[in-house]
Amino acid sequence: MLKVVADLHVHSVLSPCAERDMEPHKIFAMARSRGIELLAITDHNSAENVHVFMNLAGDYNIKLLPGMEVQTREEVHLLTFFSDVGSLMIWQEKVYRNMLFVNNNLSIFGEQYLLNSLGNIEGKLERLLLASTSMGVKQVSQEVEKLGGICIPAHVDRPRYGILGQLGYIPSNIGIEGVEVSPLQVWNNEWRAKKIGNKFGVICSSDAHYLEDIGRGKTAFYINEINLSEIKLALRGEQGRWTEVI
Amino acid sequence: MTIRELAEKLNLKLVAGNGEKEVEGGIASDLLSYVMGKGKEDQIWLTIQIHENIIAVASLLGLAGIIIADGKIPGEGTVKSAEKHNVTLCLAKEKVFELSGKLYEIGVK
Repeated sequence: MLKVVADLHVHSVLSPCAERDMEPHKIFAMARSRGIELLAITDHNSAENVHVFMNLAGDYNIKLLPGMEVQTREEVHLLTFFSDVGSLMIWQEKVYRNMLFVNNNLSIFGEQYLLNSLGNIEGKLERLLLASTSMGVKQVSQEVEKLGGICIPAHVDRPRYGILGQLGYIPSNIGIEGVEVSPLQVWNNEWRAKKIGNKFGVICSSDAHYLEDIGRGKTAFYINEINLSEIKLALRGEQGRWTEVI
Repeated sequence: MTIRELAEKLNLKLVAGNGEKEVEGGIASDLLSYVMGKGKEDQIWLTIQIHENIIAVASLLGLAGIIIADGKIPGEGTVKSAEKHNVTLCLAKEKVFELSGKLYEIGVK
């Protein structure tokens, strides 16, 4: 049984709200210094930089989980994770097809940088990523499941963009493996019991848009191997795997 | 009519901007992504959202201004941002539904 320290919610320079330093080498170095062994780059509605992070992660002895943070029609943020980059890219195409193409406005939203294989900035993404897809929460969870992925509502404790804030409750008919709380949540069992119950596994991540915030929220996964199936088991608390907010 | 004239007619409180833009129709929604997709230049936007991001959306689309309804008070950051981006911000006591009706009655369609 391994104890794997993870931060599964970090933004790269592709997200317009992220700072310019959110490049692979800097992110990995910071993550490593904070004891992170498993990381996910979850940019808004896109995964254009994930393959670059995947290729460079090994140099830092960090494992990368392919992922993306999707904004649904209801303005709910959902973290979506896949077992391989190929599935993630198929998902990206689906998200793009279901999102209105609006040109980015730099002065209002910020730059959306693409990376080259060395991890340097080389190019910009034109379509504005800070938008909602036309897919609702249920549809996103279904489509992600079809691709063998998992869906985790992001920062459910936050009033905006969290599923509890946007919908008022967590629908019972959506396939989610767990929920994410933000590091700001004054963590108490009363809140958890009332709002989440024991229905879902809980993770905590940083939602880092700045280097300084990486690892501000961490989860320990007690699993046998670092892969999506094990993570699923841990979220469900099955077969001796489990998660712990640390 | 301009927002200033509209505000006078409906007894709204102007808290930022000069209110000089002519209003051409309106949009009522609390989903920013919806307004970004469907909003049109010179519309007046009715919402109960009070956070700073509403200013970015209004600025992006060239909306005539924003009326925050239901007696909600915008934060200092929102008002400052509105001044900075020259976005007219008004406050209304009425809920969005009622406010919508009143605007319609005075000819904002």
